[in-house]
Amino acid sequence: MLYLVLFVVGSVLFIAGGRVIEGGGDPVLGDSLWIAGSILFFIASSCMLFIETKR
Amino acid sequence: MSPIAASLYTLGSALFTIASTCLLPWFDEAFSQAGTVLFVAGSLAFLAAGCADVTVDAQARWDALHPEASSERTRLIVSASVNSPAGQDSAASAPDVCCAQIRASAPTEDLLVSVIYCIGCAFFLLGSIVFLPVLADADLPLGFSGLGIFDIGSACFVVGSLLRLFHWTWPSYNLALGIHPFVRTATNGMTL
Repeated sequence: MLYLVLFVVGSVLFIAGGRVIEGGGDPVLGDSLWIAGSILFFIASSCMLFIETKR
Repeated sequence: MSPIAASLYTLGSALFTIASTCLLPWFDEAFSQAGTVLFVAGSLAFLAAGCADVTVDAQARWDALHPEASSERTRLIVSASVNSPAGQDSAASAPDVCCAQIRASAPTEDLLVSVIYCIGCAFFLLGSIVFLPVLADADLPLGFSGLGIFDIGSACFVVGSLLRLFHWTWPSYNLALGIHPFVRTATNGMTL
């Protein structure tokens, strides 16, 4: 269940980062949100991989 | 979800992380262009993972709907389930009860979420392609931008993940889908 929460939060961070960049906001903030979202996606997929390989 | 799909999701996420870092403003133009290419590569890995997931879940649904033609794996799962309380409650033989339950509550949710993820991955790929420098000045229909398309992909992941979360945590949602907890346990081995 943890990986699903991480997917949701990561996706929301992706959307927020995109809105910041497209809205002319701080590009560093936008990119940082994207990096955070990507890292959460990575953790979530690693959790999935761990679950699948342990089964 | 299959291990192959999970591996591809992990690979794609790692590429996304590197690509996002390359797009930071204090890196030069070469890094920025490499980042856009890495986004396309990551999106391709995501799409491959989504397609692998849909294939596995579609096979599981087919097996559940057609137990007489199902794979050996499904038969093993059904055989392993004959001692369950659900099978003992009925006058019918345990394997028949198991087959009927699996057929009646095919892994609809797994396939639905996989398809939503796959659509999201397709939007990720489309959005990443629009990021490429060669398409930077292209006019997209309906006023969409690469970021807007990426947002749609992200929204698909939010919807798919919330659906699966509801499925696991909200019993009335399971009842609405007609999924019995016992069958959920049996199908987890095939499709999760």
